[in-house]
Amino acid sequence: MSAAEPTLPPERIGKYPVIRKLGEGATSEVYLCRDPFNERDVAVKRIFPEALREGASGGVYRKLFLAEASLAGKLSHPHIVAIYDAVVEEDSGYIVMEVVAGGTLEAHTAADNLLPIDKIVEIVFKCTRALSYANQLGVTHRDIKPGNILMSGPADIKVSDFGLALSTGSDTTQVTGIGSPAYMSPEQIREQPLTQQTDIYSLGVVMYQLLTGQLPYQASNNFSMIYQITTTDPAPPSSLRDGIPMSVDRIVRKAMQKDQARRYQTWEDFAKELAEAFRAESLAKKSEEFADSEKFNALRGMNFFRRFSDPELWEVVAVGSWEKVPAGTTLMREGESGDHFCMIVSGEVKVTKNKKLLNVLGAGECVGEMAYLSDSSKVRGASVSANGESHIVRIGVAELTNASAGCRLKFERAFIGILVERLNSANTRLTDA
Amino acid sequence: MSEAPSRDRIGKYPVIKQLGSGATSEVFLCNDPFNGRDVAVKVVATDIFDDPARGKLFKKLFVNEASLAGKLQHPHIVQIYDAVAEDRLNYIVMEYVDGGTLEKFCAADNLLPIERVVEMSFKCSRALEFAHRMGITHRDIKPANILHAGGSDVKITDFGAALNAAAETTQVSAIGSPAYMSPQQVKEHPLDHRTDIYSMGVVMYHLLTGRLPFQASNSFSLIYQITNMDPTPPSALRPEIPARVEAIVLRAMARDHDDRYPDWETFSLDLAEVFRTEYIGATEAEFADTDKFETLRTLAFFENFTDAELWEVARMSSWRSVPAGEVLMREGEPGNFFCILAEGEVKVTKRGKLLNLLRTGEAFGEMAYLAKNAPMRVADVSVTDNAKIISIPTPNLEQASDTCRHKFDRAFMEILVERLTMANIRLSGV
Repeated sequence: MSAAEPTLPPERIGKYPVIRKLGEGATSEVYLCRDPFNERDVAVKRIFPEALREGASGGVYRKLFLAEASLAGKLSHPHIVAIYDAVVEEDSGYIVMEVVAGGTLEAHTAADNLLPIDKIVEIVFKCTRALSYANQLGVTHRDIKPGNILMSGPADIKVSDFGLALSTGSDTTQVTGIGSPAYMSPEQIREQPLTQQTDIYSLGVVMYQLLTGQLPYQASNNFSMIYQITTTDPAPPSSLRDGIPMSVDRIVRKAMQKDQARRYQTWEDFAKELAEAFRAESLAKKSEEFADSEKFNALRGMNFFRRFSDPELWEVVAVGSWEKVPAGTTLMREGESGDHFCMIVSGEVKVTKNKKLLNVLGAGECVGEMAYLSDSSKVRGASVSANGESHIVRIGVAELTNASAGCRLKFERAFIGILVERLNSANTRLTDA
Repeated sequence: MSEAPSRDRIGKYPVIKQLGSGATSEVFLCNDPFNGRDVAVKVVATDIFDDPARGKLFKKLFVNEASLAGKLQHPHIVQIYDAVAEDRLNYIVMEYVDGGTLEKFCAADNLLPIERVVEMSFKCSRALEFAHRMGITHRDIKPANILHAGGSDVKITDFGAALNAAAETTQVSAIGSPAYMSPQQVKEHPLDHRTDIYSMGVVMYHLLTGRLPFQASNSFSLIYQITNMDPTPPSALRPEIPARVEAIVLRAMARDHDDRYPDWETFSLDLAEVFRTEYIGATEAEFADTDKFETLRTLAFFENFTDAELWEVARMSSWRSVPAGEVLMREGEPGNFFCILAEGEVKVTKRGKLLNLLRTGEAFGEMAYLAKNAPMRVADVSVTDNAKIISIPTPNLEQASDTCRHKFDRAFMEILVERLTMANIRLSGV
């Protein structure tokens, strides 16, 4: 490895044979490599030795690098790039990560290649939930920018490079002129202690740029940029692009407040307003599709999913099939074999047996769950149809068996809760009778 | 490797100290800073890796096999975390087990009690059955490859043909010893799980008697004996060995496949059976692991649990023989455990009124685990016929693996659905 010419890709990095180079930044380069033991491709980010030697002196620095990568490696979330391994030696350091096929959000910061507004709100919503999850585990990102948000699908993203900003020295080099301080919060520029709110600010800047194709502050040099970040207000996004609703303007402004007290206090607040803006402005009205943020929020609000973690809830979003059904639609038929159950998101459904009404169920309740609960009674014991226009999620029993053990466990706990409740009320009725 | 006798790191792993060395390998205790744990790293140095024709292929095979063996996750198998084959360095990164190998119990002056040997062999046989079902034969079962993890707990290491193919070759060609090899292995016949059963028989023999079944001054004589002779019966060397234990060893070591145990299942059943009949009195106070495991396997409640999950249950539960009349749970008491009846009968009563009679395999007190809010017992439970009770503290279950808890939940869901169905039938009848 050490013998390799600087211009030629190394044959291997640590134990990982190199397939090809993926990219290069100011302080590091990224290679596509193979992990033969785990039988998967990985992205290996190699830190330049110069960057490694910067900042704190040798040993302390290397410990910090490893501690941060190790902490970030504990993040397991569908919208965060997984870290599998990290190695730091005398003169080299690298991080082994999940490969994400798409490019970064940088491609969509150019004025002639902007994303639709509803998609931007979706993407930023996913970022807020992922960063909220990281924050709960004690990890602040500190280097949120479009280049650190990878596209893994049409509106799917994965946030990359958690917690590495400090130890890889990238903010130092940015301030001293190699990069740009464009996404840094005022408190970051002032080198004050940082909290999750620095990431909230930076994500506000990312949102601004995705919406308008411009950075909030234009400057010919970094000192002017730093001056503006700490003292002036940016032009509202709606003044730069038609069709940006007031509520979206407001969200960007609030995320980018210079005064931390006036900024969003938590990721939850930020996420909630994004979801509300989405709903209120009917950003996705034109399509019959449910946006992922809508799905996520609908589930997050249900008592049934109370104990599901964010990553588990995203699994449910991915596994379920979402439908708007008009009144009168039959959802399940008595005597049919059942391979799924439904959660009612909104509206009302009725359960009938031989045309006799057994039950009326509303939002947040589940129906047809015997298909999942019992291996022996797969045949529907009653029919189910929509009373009024309803939103439902169908969850296939077979799909659920492919979910993570943690996610399935949460479903079981939720169903056990329901069964215990029903059994108790049946027993009460029996003793009263 | 010879030019660097003391190393301070192997790949990314800083070395703490050397643990041991063999003819073709050295094992080091290392640290994995990223995962924050100690690991054992086995560095393999063999000529095959340097062979100009086959070296590259062999390196690939080495990693592939380690990768396959790495998929074995079982409490009695050493977990493989990583494997690397580089130009000059080939190594396997494994779970670190602090307790040495079974070799130390092969010395005549340091033998284990017989029931302990039976227990350990039982655990090995179940672990090897698990590996066999995943398509993996070990091929090098010997005391040095069975680590002692405390008490009667063991962990088998070094799975995979390519991983020890080198060792095998050198053993036959007289550097090592073929002492644990099956006749089929010596004859270079195609091998299946029955070669491991044979070797396990030899390990038992050695642990029981402190001697190898065949003594020889050179490998050729040893090979001749393995393929042609019957060993001295173990009881001739240690008289207190029961006839049934001896029968198990000799059947495992049968030269002919037709006379040997056909599978691990039969082997382990015999071990469990002999334990129950010969040694149940020896450990009156506590239930042996073998007994727990075999009992769990027969209970309907656990029918969908895998071996690895059953071992988890055996470990987290406490077992007791309870005489008739004893009260197990009282109404109004807080409930922080539930029970499964392994044997006997208990009755559920509320203010003296009989609610239910429960028999073997049924669970009681489970509402403590199932209900969300701080649970109180709502009825009394007492023993009506001498019973074996398995108690599972709910905090222990919360600590169990996701898959184990998942199996409990599925089992409880079936029970709840059944009870609800019964209640609804009664309700519609009222």
